[in-house]
Amino acid sequence: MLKLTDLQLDMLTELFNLGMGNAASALSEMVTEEVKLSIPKILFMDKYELTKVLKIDSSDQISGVSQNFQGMILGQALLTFPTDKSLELIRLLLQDSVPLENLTEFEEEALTEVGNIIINAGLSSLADIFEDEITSDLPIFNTGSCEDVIGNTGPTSQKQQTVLHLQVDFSIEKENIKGYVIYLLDLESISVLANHIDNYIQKISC
Amino acid sequence: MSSQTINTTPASELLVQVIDTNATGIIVLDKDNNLVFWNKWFEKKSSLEKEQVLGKKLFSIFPELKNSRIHKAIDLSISKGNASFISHAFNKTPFPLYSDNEKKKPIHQLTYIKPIQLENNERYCFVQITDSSTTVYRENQLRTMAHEAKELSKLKSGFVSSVSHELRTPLTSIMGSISLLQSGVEDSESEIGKKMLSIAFNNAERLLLLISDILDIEKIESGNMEFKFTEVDINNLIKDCILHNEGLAKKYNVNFSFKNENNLPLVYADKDRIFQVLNNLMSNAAKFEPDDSNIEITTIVEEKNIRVSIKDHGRGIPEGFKSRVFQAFSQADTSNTKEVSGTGLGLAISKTIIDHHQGIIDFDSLENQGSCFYFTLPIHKKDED
Repeated sequence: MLKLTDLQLDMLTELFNLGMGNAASALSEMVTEEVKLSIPKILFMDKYELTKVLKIDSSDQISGVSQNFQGMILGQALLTFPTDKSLELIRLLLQDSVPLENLTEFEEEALTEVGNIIINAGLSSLADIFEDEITSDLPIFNTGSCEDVIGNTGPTSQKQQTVLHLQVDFSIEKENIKGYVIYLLDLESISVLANHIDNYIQKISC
Repeated sequence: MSSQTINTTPASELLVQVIDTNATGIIVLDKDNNLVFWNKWFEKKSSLEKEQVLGKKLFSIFPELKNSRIHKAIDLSISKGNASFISHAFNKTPFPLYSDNEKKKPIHQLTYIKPIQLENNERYCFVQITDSSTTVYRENQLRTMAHEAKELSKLKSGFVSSVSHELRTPLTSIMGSISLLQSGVEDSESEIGKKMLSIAFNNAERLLLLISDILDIEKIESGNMEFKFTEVDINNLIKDCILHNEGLAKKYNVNFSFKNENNLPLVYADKDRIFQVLNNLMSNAAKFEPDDSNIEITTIVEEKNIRVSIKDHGRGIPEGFKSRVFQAFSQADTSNTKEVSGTGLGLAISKTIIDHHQGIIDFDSLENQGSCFYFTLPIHKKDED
């Protein structure tokens, strides 16, 4: 499996954190409450490892918002939460006075919008820094077991098994909720990404 | 691409018609935010014909959208090629669109914004809007129901805890009396022993009464209580109930006086259940009536109802307790009155019974002057004239 070096991963973390700053200010405006987003670390892994990581934090069910993207890199992005955490997050954002047991249609839609903002912000920050373009499709909401949701995020061909795994920490009203953004990339996209990062490092060190 | 060029070939004309028959709103903007497509749905909900808007900037037609989330998403779509989904939850009615019926209510919206790139790399922004008003209505209903269910569950828990408390009190007295006798500390033939037996018996009786009241409440609430409606002469029923309460009147040293209009029309009611209500109100009045005085019972015709009143001259109901009189297990502080016994369920049961008869039960009360409880029953239709 082609891997990014620690330096490349550190640089990528910085870039995604810039994007999260934009997403956080968009979310704060929407909910008139200060929302903070940060990405403490990025890991490379395959889908099998990813399922194991997700299962540590979520009992059974996870909810996720996925979006296909193309351009400079090609793949699928997915924002996931353990289902109970997605309920908690969306109710904090919506300040729901009568919470129901399961996510309602509106809450699913609200979570889709939140996922859409975060995924677009991440992709935009990469495209902006690398002065290239990454376009995205409309978001889709998924819920189910880890395997179901991860499986839904793309074809299971060997090419797309590599996963860029970002932990996203949400901070709203003194509450902290942990979610994940997962980018499913093909080998070619990883190599493109590595080249762009190297060029960028070279550019800023000149 | 412009609105004119879209219609030039049969295939594109067909496409326009397909989009026009769509039950969602569709508009397309060019890279400078000029409108190049505006479907029929949009015409209906905005009351703006396509001829009035095509070629114009979206934000000059809807200035309220400037700097909104919609504006930012359109910019993102055109400049960076990102698609956005704008939920109803955070943006209820972003576009000024209204239902096309008489009510002209603002439409709750779901908005999808997506870039479209032509082969010549020209980029457009596709905006699709779905009317989610019905879903909003359904979800609000669901929330109201969930709220009500929560309140009911709270009431039920309160009821169970009160029932447990009320059952425990007489049981403790029974156990205490019996254990004294069983241990041989007291002989059942002795003066104290007899008193112990009497305490045990009275409390067992109270327990029985309580359980039968609880069963009644449960039956009424679950809709399992059968009501046998027949024509009832309320005056005769009151007379029977006064006779039934003679013993109680003697015990509390009070009298019942009954003033009634002659030839009262009949009511259509369950005789036994109304007797239960009368019995409850009369025995309550007897318990609070001062010695050697009269409890006044009257019946009058009041529009399409017969009103039965039972007036005592007791302490009255404290102001702070009035709102809870008909709640189960409610009893005001009874200190300094006659020794009062009761389950605290009688008035709750009476209210449910009268409600079931489409009547009203209520009271007037002044502290230290007395209370007048009254209920109404609809006159049997046959007797209305």
